[in-house]
Amino acid sequence: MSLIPAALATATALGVAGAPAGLVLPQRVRGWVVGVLTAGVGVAGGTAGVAALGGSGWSAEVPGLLPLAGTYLAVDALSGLFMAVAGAVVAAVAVYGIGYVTGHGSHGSHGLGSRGAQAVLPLFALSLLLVPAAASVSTFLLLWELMALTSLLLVLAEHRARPAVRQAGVWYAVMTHLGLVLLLAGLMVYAAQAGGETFAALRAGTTGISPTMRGLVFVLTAVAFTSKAGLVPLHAWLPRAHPEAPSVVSALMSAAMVNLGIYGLVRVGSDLLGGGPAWWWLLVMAMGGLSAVYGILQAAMASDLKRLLAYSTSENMGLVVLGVGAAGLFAHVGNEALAGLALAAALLHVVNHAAFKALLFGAAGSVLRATGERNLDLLGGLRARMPFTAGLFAVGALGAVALPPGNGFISEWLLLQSMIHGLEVPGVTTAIVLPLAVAVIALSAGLAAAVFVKALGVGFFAQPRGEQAAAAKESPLLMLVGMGLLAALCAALALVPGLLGEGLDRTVAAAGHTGTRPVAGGGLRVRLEEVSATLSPLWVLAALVVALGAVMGTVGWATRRRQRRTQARLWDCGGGAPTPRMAYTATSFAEPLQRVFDDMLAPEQDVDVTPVRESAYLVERVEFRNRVPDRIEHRLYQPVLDLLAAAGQSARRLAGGSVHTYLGYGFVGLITLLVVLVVGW
Amino acid sequence: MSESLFSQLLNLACGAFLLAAVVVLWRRELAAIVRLFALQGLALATIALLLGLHEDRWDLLVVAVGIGALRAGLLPYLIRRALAVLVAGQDGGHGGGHGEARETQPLVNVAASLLTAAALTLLSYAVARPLVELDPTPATRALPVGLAVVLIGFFVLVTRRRALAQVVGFLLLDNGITATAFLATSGVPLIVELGVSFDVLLAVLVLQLLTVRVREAFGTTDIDDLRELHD
Amino acid sequence: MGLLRKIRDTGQVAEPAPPRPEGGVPPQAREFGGSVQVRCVDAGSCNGCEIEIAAAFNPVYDAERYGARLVASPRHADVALVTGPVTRNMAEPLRRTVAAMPEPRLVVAVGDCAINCGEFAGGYGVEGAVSDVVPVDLAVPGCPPRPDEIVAALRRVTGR
Repeated sequence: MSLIPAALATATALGVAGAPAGLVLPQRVRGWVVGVLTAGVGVAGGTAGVAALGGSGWSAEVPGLLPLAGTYLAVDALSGLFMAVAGAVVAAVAVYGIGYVTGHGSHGSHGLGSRGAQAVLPLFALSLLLVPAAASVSTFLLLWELMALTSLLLVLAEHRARPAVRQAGVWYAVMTHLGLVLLLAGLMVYAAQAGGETFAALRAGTTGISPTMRGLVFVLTAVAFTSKAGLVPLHAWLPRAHPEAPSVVSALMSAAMVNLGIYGLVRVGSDLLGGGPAWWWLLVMAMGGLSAVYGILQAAMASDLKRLLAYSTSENMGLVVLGVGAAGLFAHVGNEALAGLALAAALLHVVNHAAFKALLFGAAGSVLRATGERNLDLLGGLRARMPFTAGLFAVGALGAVALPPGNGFISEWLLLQSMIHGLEVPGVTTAIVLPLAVAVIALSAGLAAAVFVKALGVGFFAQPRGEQAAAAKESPLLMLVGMGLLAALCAALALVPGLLGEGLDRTVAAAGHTGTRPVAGGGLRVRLEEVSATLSPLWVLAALVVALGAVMGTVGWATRRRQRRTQARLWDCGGGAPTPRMAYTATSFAEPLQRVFDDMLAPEQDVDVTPVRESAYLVERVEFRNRVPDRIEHRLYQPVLDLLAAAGQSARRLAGGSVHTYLGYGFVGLITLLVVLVVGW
Repeated sequence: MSESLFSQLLNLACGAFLLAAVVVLWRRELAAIVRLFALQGLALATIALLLGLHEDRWDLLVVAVGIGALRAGLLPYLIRRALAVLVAGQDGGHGGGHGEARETQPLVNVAASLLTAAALTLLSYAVARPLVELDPTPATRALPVGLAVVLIGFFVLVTRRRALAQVVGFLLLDNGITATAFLATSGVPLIVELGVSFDVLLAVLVLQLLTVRVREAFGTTDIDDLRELHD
Repeated sequence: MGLLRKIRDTGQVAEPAPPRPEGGVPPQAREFGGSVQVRCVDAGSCNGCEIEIAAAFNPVYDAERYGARLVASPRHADVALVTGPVTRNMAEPLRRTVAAMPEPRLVVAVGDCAINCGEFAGGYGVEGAVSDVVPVDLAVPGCPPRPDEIVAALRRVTGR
């Protein structure tokens, strides 16, 4: 029992010690010390999480820390899962980060290596680990805001190098605080109605709240949490903040921070509120499904590597939320077995996504650091120049496309199992919604395959399309070690996911679906007792290896008779040598998809023809621009912003310039207040 | 002193206090307004004096003397000096110093402002009722007067055009707040009263200076001509 | 409905097949087995031969019924139909095109210009006849040759 508090205390001590270390130490040792401390935070927090997954729990009240409200902490299996995930990601990314700031080719004390960023990094890691441990509204909100502020400072770390970073920072700050306001409102209403602010009080007081109020609380908190997880419609910060942040920070944000949105949703929706009517879960599923499809489409159109990965995060979180919604729906109908299965699938996908997304962002950061380019259309040929990075990216991509033997496959299989078996549940709602959900999952999986083939193929294979790509060198060793740790985690999750089974069962029970053990009991295989399905990843891998060997053997034998070999030129239509820039680019790869989904994406094309001054028939320059804007942003945000601007403009008329008017406003306000007081009593 | 005598004298002082504020709304010459303000200061000092005598507190007596000296003596003197400077600077041309010394047409005419004063007094009685019910002593029963003077002072501040008249309105506001404090709690601690008085003194000095400067820069202290405070 | 009626009313417009041309199938063409993919290469012609080749593949002469089919890339082709005298700029591309064809391959020179530069012999932009640049297996003389002569040459390759 004492492992969890000891581990948490260690993590806090290391994290808090990291801040002054980052500020004070000289540049030679700063990266090392802060990296080691952050890795320590990750390991300690991860240990606490694993211990909680193993069955221990802990709760405590620390009275002196916060004025007025006190600090309440509690760790159960649900928070343990998220702490374990965050801890593993933080530890690996911290090792990667040491290489990032201290290895050859780094920018020294600019960007992530500067004092400010290094001081804030351990605090960010600490907040990621402590948010799941909060057990009262004020503690939760305080830690949530700490996480938001530290991540904002880290996103802005490279603002001197690129002006686009500042704009990204503004978007991120505004949207995260909008989420905070909604969260604050929701939790305040909840605490006021339930008569207490600790999670235990909230859980106990839920039965006394009217359904309308419960619905209001759920909607407010769901919108806030899904915004943090990067789901539409409040997703616009994700594709802006992730590309502009340093890759270490992008990895932490995408693999650990967005998970906390899911944590909040499950904690408040399933655990504290104890489930609710069908419309809650249908709303959540709608957001999830829409994000899954929209996210992967935008990723398919993106040529910026990190923007592609950011949209892929949005898609994966959409799938997770789809599972969470399905779990709620099943629980509402009364089928606890399927509810537990859907939730276990969603949480396993969170774990898998954290592993492969952190790895992908690490590899993208490695590429960015070596070439200075994020644009896939200018990369290429990196397989020969950066073989390890290319291999690690391939492992991450295999996980992301959700095909065997990757790790994403296991969780998507579980999710599909729960949806398909859910068709047996009687009721019109499930009969309509579940096939749609299955279709959405299938579509997003297919598009994800296209996206990652594009990213891997165009980015790493073929010839370098630019000089910077041609001059790339492999990354420092520690970065490769960090990525290697994550790849090992991906492989473990892909080959022996059954080891997580017990932990997932306990997590599902902690989230309120007691009485069901969806995933356990398989040892190395994944066996789903209640729906009678089994998956053995090791056998799948063996079968794939055998099949591949058989095919290659047959082809090799069948072609061995043709002894004659000819050396032939690449066909280039006969004239002129093709340059690598003429090879398939990311944009051309995505063009068929763009044509198919033209209605949903609404791409914009601009052709600008400048004729020669003497004659309008001779062209001097042609400029072609093709953009796929974020349509939701355009249709949803722009009108709201225009409305606010118009309101502000019309409010300028209130400030006429006359001092009498200004004084009059105050006087009228005071009189109105007094009259209201009198009438109200 | 006996209860009935005390309560009658207190009511008299509070009545004079309120009356002074209302008459400020009626008169238009700045000199008259300043005289009324001095009178109100005296009434306020009397209130404090009565309270001190009734409760045998010597610190209230000291405060009463101090308030009398400040609000009935020093502040009116300062304002009269500023007025004299303004009138003197205007000599030659206009007839007999009428331009600055007299308020121009106020924003709200006299009849309407007197009716407003009556309405504000009623409002303050309504607002203060729960406070009075908490502890019905003669002093707290007179509490609404303090509130009424606050509101009337604010009203004067809003509707006068001349800067000096606005200064007087501000000072009425402060008088009302002090009266409320005295009537509700039998006086604030000495140190607080000293601090507030010092603040008020400083405010008047600054405003006096500003008024002169405004006059020099713009040729008038009619704030309706100052309309640049917007973007 | 209108299309079906049109098909019924139009009937068949192809000319009846003339007798098989003399001369057997060249040895390397035997592997094709009667199905031949054809790539047309214009090495600098005046386009007269191109018009006749187009006529050879239209419904009246219909070379496709004898097993010849036009393809878009030399990588897919068995036979290259070369027209025109080879200009200096097209010499290297012609060599590369024929080299890009998989073996077995045939080169057919169509028109007098392809055989001996015809009208343009001695021009400053002309490199030579097709046989000066790549080995030629079959020749179709004429300026331009008639479509049935082109079809006859293709029938010699396909053997139908």
